[in-house]
Amino acid sequence: MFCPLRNLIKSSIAQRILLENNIKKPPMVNSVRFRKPRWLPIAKSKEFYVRKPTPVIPEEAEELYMRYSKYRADVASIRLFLKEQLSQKSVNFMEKQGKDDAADFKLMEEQVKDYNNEVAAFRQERQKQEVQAEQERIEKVVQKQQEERLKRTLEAEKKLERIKAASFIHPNDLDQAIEIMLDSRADYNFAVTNSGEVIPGRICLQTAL
Amino acid sequence: MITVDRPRNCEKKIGFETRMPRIPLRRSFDIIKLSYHGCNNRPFFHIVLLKNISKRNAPPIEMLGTYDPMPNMYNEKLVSLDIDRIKFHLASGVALSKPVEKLLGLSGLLPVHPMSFITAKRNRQKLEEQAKSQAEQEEEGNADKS
Repeated sequence: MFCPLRNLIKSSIAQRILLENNIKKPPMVNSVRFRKPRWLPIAKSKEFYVRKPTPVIPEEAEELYMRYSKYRADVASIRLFLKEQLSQKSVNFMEKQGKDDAADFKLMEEQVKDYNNEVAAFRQERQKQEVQAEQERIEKVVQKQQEERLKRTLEAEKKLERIKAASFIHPNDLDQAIEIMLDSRADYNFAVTNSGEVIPGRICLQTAL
Repeated sequence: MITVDRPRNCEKKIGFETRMPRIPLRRSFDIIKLSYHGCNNRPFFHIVLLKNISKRNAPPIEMLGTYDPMPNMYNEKLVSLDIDRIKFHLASGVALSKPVEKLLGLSGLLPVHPMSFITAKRNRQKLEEQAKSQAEQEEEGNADKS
């Protein structure tokens, strides 16, 4: 399809780029259309339309060129100056902050020390009291235990005495006890029938049954 | 619109067809520019820090001032600027849009923008012409009366 405008623009841009960059390869030129799809043809009314270039007054253009070159240099230098200023400021700030931090740290250390001392005194007092209380408690417990033990021993002694009084054989009464024992011998050499009769064994003592 | 590029991949051949040329991605950088916050026939601008790619009224990275282009009852166009922050951004290499450059030039932070000299010149010429034409008209009127 023949499209003079596009070809014109393409060729002009290509020429300019070739001149500027001195490249052997031809540049890629890509026309972009945002509203219409790219495959649609150019409208018939706009087919041979070429935009009128904005009028340039040569005097003004020259003045602008001169002014712009100066302006750009000025702005660049101002930017550089501001950058330096900023870096200086930041360095000063860092130094100051470092000093401030050190002072702050010292102050904080002192404060912490004071606080620690205060707390330590308080804590020691408390610990003393606690130890004392613990000792008292232990003493009480020990006392109680001793009392209980005494009580138990007394009771045991009483019991022992009672038992002694009731059944123990005194060495003086030994012969008598032996006699009684001999008198009270039991003979278990017998059988019992189903009906409950007792049939004595061959050797039967008189004392049995 | 026409964009020009020399992509490296374009010369790769797929079968017998050349590959479709691609539009290169736009380089993104920070820029101080004006965003329109007025309504119909009442323009009002915020001076904002934005990415160059982002939309005109996108939520700004930072707001740096305002500009009211309509002269008020004292025939003043009011501009407010956060000079410290603008200085900081200038130092950190942020770009400026042309209107912002003009505003900063008039405010005295940067040198006056070249284009504002030109517009001033043009305005002066226009005023002179008007004065001339008025004088001529008056002369003609006087001549008619006499």
